[in-house]
Amino acid sequence: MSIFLDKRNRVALSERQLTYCVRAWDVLCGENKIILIVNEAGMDGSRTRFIEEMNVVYLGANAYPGEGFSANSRMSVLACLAPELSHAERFSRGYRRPLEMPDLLIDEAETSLNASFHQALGSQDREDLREDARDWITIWLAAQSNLGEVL
Amino acid sequence: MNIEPSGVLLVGLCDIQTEKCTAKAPASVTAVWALPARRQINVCSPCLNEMVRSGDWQIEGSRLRRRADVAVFDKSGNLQLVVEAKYIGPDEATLNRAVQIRRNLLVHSGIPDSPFFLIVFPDHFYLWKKGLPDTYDRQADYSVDTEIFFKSFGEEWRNSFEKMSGVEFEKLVSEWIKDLSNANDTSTIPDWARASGLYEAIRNGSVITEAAV
Repeated sequence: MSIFLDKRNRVALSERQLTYCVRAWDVLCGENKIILIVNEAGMDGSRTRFIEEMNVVYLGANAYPGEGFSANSRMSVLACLAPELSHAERFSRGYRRPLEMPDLLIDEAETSLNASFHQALGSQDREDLREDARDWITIWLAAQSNLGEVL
Repeated sequence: MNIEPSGVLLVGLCDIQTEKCTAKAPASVTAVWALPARRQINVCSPCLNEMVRSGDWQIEGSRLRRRADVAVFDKSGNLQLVVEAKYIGPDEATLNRAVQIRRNLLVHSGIPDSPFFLIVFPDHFYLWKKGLPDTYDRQADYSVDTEIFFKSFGEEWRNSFEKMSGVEFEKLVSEWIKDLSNANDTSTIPDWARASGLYEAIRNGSVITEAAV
């Protein structure tokens, strides 16, 4: 992982945190419900992710912010979950994500940017997601230039 | 009205409570500020979406989620028609209002730029055919009285038409579009649907309600 990313929370979520995440997911999804599976979030190091084959999102401990300085590390629960909804919506429109590097990075950038336009987000969340998109592109550019030390 | 989302989540009642409201009893809502006075409004996600789709609220830096009340895809799976059904009173249901709604949806990416776009009000509907050059504020190409509904569904609908909910209205519109798309007796196809090319475009197509487009 890069210097920008993967500095989010790794500690298992408490019941209260989990409830907050479910509430955030409700507000993000609105009428367009996508299933949020929460049973992994009580495990240390679990990761939030969209699973195409099942059209569900797994909630992980990293839904909560961590201690890093990057946008990805510090963004709120709402901002963290918004790209997962974007993945799901893009998938439902027939878009299939690239699975290999470095194209995966561009997809993450595009998804963060797409998520930043969600109506429920505050201005700080919007800014964090756009900064996150920029960071993904920065890593992609480094990969394109064969600057492996950034990856 | 300009709105600024706070990103704050809470459990409470929605202050807006449209028909699609999910927080008429305590549920997940988010707080937004009405500008410039920064008055707090607690709103559930479907109501937030409805207020922005209708153009009553504007949120700087956001886009609408792309959704259609009814969408029709042709046999090849290409989107041909997007329908927005609005159950609003006759005073509000004007051509200007229809133009404003279309503009809002296009500007904020709430709908794709499909070959046909239809806004249905209880007493009129307005059809746009994609043209070049096009502008957001362009007047509708066809304006049709919704008497056509009663011809399709029978006079018994006339009374319930005035009492139905917005959701029921959307269902009725969807059924009517399905009838139009699947019509076997082509003599029943209205002139405007033929002349505009709409009928050919959606004939035997797939009609999807509440579609992500």
